[in-house]
Amino acid sequence: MSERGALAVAASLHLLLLGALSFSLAQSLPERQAEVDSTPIEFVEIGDEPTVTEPPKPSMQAAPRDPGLPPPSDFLAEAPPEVDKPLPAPVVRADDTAVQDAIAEEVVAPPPPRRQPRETKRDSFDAGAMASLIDKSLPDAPVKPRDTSAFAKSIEAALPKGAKVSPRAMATLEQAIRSQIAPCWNPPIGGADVQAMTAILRIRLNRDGTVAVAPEFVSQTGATPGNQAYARAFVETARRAVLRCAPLTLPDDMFSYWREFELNFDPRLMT
Amino acid sequence: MIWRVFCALLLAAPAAATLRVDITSGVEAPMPIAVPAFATAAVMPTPAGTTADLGRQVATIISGNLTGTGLFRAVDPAAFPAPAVAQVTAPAFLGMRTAAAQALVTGSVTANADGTLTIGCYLYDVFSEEELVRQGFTVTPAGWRRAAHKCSDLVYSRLTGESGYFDSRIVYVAESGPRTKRVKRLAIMDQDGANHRFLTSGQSLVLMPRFSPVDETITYMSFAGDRPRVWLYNIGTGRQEAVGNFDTMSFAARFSPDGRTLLFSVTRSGNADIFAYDIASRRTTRLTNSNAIDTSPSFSPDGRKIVFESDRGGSQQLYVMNADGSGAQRISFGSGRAASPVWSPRGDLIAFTRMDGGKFRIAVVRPDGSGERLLTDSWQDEGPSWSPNGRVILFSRTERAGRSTLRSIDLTGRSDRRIPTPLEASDPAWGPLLR
Repeated sequence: MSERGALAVAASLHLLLLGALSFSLAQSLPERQAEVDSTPIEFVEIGDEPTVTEPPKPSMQAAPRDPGLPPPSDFLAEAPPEVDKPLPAPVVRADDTAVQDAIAEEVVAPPPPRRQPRETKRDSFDAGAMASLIDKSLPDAPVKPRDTSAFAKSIEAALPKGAKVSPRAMATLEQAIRSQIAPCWNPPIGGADVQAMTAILRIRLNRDGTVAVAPEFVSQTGATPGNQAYARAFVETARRAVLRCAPLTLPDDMFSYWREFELNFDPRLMT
Repeated sequence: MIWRVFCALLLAAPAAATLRVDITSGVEAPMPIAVPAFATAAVMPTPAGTTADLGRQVATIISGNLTGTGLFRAVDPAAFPAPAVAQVTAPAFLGMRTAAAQALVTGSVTANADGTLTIGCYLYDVFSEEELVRQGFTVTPAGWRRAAHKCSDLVYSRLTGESGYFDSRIVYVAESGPRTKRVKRLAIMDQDGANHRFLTSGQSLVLMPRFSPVDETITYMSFAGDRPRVWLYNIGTGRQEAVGNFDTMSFAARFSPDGRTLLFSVTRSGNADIFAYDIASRRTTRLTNSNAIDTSPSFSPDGRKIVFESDRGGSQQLYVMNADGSGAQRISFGSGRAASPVWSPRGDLIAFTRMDGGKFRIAVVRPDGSGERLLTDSWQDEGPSWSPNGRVILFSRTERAGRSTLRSIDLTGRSDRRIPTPLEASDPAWGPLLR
């Protein structure tokens, strides 16, 4: 087989794998079987219109029905629960963690060793103004201030060659984002698996700081087949933090840097 | 060659250039949640009240369950109007955001033609405006509280990712009468104290009730016939049965995680050893054989290990051994004594009573003996029992005046609550989630 052919096969296999992983995310868990207790309770599918004993009057406010849901008459006709009959249990929808497992080893790189960044005259954005912004943002929030210089090296690496923005300005931008997101984040720290869990979301903002697209899940560490529900709840707390805190106030002249960025939610220092 | 470059770019491109910000801190405040009265399309009378009354009471129970965890804070229902039926599936999110709620629990109560009630339960994320989960529950009018507890469990597990514990029951010893002639009866109730009833008459002294993790069976110790020993009690059928046939006293029984085996202690000339009892075959196996008092055995959730207390080293301490009785290792150190260990259903911790400086306090420790943490600080807190999800610990507190009550505390130590009981109460045990 030619090299070109082999590469084509490899590329299509990658695409297949990606497709298979995406598909498995949508898969549901098998139904759980419930047993009857002395006080009977029956799980029923509920429609967008709650069942009523007499038909409700037509209303302009009536919500549209999901086409996929059974009509209300389905559960009106349900027989009383029988002891031996397995009850229709709630279908637990949980994301498959195959993808998360695959990326679980991709632990976020540790911060680089501290290094004092050189002051530069190229500074195209007012760090002082940003600092005052940080000070103003939610004074009672327990944001741990971090030395901006610690991030300089990683930021420098992230900057495109020939960029006009100094590492210091970039670090200040990071700090501005952090100080506005952290007070809105309520991580589920009581969970048994919180020690090893982090999640990365991709954020896309409009120029006015509002969220342009719903935060997109990128990757997660610490998710296992046994903690899918917790892993999902964890990601949702992160997503909620972004939506709650938007719009963000960020320097307009750096819009090209914060139009799209990633947030790595890591509560390990909190526990 | 072009292909190779293309593929290299495809794999390498996303790695660089995107700004990534670490969020390493957050807030630990309870999440504000709105639970308005459940709607009803037509107000109908039921044996438990009208559907409108039930809608209000269901919301009150859910709100109480969630706020009681310490993880949620109920937004004042006056801050937003109770939704009509049409709004249950099309909520006014803007109003909820104004009221600072992050999640919305809403639903409806419907009286069915066959006399049952259907209670619909919906959970929404207020900021993403997404429906997170929905479930309907059909119950008899008398069982309407179970639907409220099931809805609470649904909401709790969806938002925290942990399983719930609201649709569960507690068995305990109800105490009455003077100190010198105490009457002790077994009693059972919902985890919130509702639907209370007594299981025994009080003629014989009863102690140490424990729930089977799988069915409606309780094990306890009774002095019936002046023969103190372990009994099994099926709550559903009311059938009782003495366990084993020992000449001496048997006590401190507890079920295995699969409900098939009982562990308990049997005394022998001043000492006590731990035995395993297979419920189906009624066969007994000795697990310890020491010249000390070995008692309070509790299985790990995988059934491979047993934690117990023993004074074999001179003072009462905790030990972990294999399920066959081999390889016992001491795990409690520090000052004072340690008693009544019970393994968390989550497996990560063991709760026990720490006795030190004249005080009894509830503590947790990892199964390897590390990370010991005191959760309470009162005069006499003892006898811990885990919630079905391993998040909350139930225990009894005796005040200096002698009064004894049931309390619960969550693992963070923040949510410390009294469980209401009609009489004084001790020795509580939390049952499994009902099906």
